[in-house]
Amino acid sequence: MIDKKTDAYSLEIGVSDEVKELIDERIEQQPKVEKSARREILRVDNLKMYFPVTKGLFKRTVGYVKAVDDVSFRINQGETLGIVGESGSGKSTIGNCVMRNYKITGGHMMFDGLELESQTPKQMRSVHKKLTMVTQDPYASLDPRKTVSDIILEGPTIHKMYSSKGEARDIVGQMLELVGLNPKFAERFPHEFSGGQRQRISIARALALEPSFIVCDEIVSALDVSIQAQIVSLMMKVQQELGLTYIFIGHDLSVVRHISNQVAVMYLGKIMELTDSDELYNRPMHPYTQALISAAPIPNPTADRARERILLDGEVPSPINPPKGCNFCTRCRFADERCRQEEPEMIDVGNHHLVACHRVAGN
Amino acid sequence: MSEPILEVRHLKTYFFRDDAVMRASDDLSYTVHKGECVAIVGESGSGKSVSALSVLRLIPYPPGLVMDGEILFHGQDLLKMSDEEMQELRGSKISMIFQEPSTALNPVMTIGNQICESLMIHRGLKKKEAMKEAVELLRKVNIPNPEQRVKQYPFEFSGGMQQRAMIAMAMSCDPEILIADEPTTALDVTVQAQVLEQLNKLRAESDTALIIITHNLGVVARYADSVKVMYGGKIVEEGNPYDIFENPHHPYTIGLINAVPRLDLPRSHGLHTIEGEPPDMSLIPVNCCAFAHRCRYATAECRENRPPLEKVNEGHYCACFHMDETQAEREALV
Amino acid sequence: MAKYTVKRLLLLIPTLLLVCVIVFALLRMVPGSAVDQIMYKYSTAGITVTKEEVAARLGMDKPWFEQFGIWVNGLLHGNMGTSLFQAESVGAIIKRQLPVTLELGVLTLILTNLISIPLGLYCAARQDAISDQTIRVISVILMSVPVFWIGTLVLIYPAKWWNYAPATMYTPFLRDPIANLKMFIVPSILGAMTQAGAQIRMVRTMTLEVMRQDYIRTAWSKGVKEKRILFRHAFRNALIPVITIIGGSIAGLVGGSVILENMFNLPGIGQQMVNALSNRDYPLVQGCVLVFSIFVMVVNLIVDLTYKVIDPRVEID
Repeated sequence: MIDKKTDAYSLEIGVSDEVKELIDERIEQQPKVEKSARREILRVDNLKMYFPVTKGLFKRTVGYVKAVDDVSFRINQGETLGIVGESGSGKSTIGNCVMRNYKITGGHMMFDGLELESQTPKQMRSVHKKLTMVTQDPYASLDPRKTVSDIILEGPTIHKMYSSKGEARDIVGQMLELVGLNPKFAERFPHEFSGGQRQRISIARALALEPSFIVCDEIVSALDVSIQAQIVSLMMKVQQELGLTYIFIGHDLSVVRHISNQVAVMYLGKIMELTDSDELYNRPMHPYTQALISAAPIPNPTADRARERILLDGEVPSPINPPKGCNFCTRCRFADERCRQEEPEMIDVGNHHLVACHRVAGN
Repeated sequence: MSEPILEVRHLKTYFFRDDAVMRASDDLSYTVHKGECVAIVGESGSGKSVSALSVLRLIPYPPGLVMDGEILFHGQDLLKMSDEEMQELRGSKISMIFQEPSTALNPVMTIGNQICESLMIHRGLKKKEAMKEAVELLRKVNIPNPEQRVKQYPFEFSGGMQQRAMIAMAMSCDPEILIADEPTTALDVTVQAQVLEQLNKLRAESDTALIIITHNLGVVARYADSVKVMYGGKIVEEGNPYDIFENPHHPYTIGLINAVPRLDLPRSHGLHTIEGEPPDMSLIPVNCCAFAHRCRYATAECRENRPPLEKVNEGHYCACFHMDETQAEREALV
Repeated sequence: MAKYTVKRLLLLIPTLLLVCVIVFALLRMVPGSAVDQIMYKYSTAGITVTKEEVAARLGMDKPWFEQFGIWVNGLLHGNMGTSLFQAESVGAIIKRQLPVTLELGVLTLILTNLISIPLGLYCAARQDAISDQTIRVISVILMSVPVFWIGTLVLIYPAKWWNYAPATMYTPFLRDPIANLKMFIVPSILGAMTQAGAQIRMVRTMTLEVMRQDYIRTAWSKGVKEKRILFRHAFRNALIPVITIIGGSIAGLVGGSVILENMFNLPGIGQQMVNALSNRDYPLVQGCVLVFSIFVMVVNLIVDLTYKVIDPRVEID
């Protein structure tokens, strides 16, 4: 109990020379690229993930949940794609598809020159060294019987990344320092930490693999405001230092936009709008994006009370039974006959700003 | 300002666990006026929920206990009332809605029966009349087909509709005060906006005072007439939202506001973080500023004395020994 | 729900067939066959017979699949065979003696719940009060006292003090309900005591668990009175896990009645089955097990249907 108090004071510590060296080393390992010629590291084309809905004693398939339906995007190395959406939008499913946690229904995924969907489970294991995931619940994802050191060394042990106990200890120490935790914590158990500290531990576990790509699935959603800011800042700092690429999945548009270079707005398994983060706020085109921005509260009464308010009716329809035509037509204030019949195509309105809406396409 | 209906004075609610004493609300005072929207803001463990649950005397004992203070409702001390008088008050004069609508509704009772309960208890309606009234209440909170919906069970409602049903239930007896404990945290963003609008509309129509307990500063900025920022069981700053968001004086308030990414500003505006973790409330010494261990202005004085709430402006109070410094720094930035 | 019930009843058929196979096979795997038992009985009476003669008379000289076929064929025609040691059909024995066991079981069940549910709820409402503590101590004692011991006391002391002994002549319910119930009441109370001990604690724990739920807090915040919270809000939710336990204990009530039947001279099926097993009276054991399994399966079905009635969230179709 008393210990906890001192820990709170010694939580944030300066980065040691050792860690600085490690960072330099990692940066050297990253292929040198010019800023103008950013390399495409992940390319997802027409990704589909349908889950069968079964019924009855004999598990008859009576339909499909189209969790992800024809989704395409690209991510350049060192950048972040934010995916934002409400529950049932399929945002987390995309992350799990990229990780190959599911057998995808259709589409292609190219990661760093590798076709992900055709990798065998054994090949995937080595891919997972470069491509890893951090998930929402820091309580469920950390084995309560393992020490922090064991947790961080899980990956490095599988991939034989150290040859002696001393090296292992160094890895743990460096990782803890990198995520802003005291290296003295290495022999403690997860329950001795707060939610924010646990999330730091899961980030350290992911970083210990020396990945180049991290899928961050709602990593700050369960955290308090001040801790959320700490974790977002940590992720951005680590990204800059190590040249990492992220998919950052969340439901809070403000947070997702803050960390992302481009943001994909998802609704019922489809991307509605995909564009550069600042463009998204300055020129939102899709009625759903406009509603999301309007619903996101701004912590400033003058700015907030002066805004135009768009209130959506109803709730997200069930993904088992999505509406005909545009998925958003049941809640859209502009929806007309065409929207209820025909599914809108994704069009580029210029400046890499992609929108799937008949109304935008018409003008 | 209209007449005060609820005055909480020097409320001390403690929780006793093992050997530790958690001072979840420590010498807390606030006033709620008729028809006003009061927001109590804080992070988890700040004691914000306890400050409201104490009003309805819903603190589970053990481990929690209201140790001291007064809660005056129209001048009458709720803490001195008998259990029967208190039951009479709950749900009729003061009602409450909770964070997680899916667990706050009884899973094996129909929505209609759950709404009827308060109507039958407090307004003495017969079952049939109460059911009719329940349909009207559901209609009022925009639930489609209320005649069929009253017969359904909570699991047949979506999260947003469950919360509306909770609101209908809480508003059924036209309460003078409605306490909403994180009413939208469990809901989707667009549904959050609907539910908050709904609450605000009902409040305006019936002149009910609304106490919103939340960690979401945006919600506060949009709806509140008065804001109390809580940290470590105490109010560290209070005022109207313009005071709090545009002229914050307490280092914690400043830090909290800067820790929220702003959607309306370019991405390049920095995200400032408050270092460290919220304190373990059983470890904060009695006579000290609870925020001292995370505060960059903290001096020996902060660790040895508890800063009192001091007037900044009319209606704007702040509990910090270093207000001048925070202000000087903020002005230098502008 | 009717559709579901029919479906479940149809599912009984393959299950029962499987039970038949297992019972038939297991019985014959037990060392010492019925033939050996009969040979032993004859030899003690000084009669010499050959093994083959006995086997032929019992129909046990045929291959096992033929024997199984004959038995199942009989079952399909409503004939469960004849007991090897009692000159009576298995059907008649079960028809005569099963109702006794069932009556004892049902009475025990009703008494158990009449004792445990109110006391469990009372304890939950008065958590950690002296009355709660006392009831909990008593329930532990009830759980740990063996039935045969307390049964013996019940038989001996009233006889010694008041020259009273329970009736030993069995009277069927239909002939004289009062006399019948008089006979059953003491053994059912004894049976219920052990059960109730465990169940009081169960009801108490479950109710306390439910009382901690958010929706109970909501009910308080509406100004609902304590009694109504306990009965209208908490009890129904607490009942869901309790039903599971009750369902499980019913099977045990029938099987565990041997001691009580013995002590109070009730001609139930329990004692009959124990004897049949030690005699290797194949048709009788098979018949009893079959009837028991139908009983257990029907009870399970009733439990599942009760869930649906209590908890609207349960999907059974």
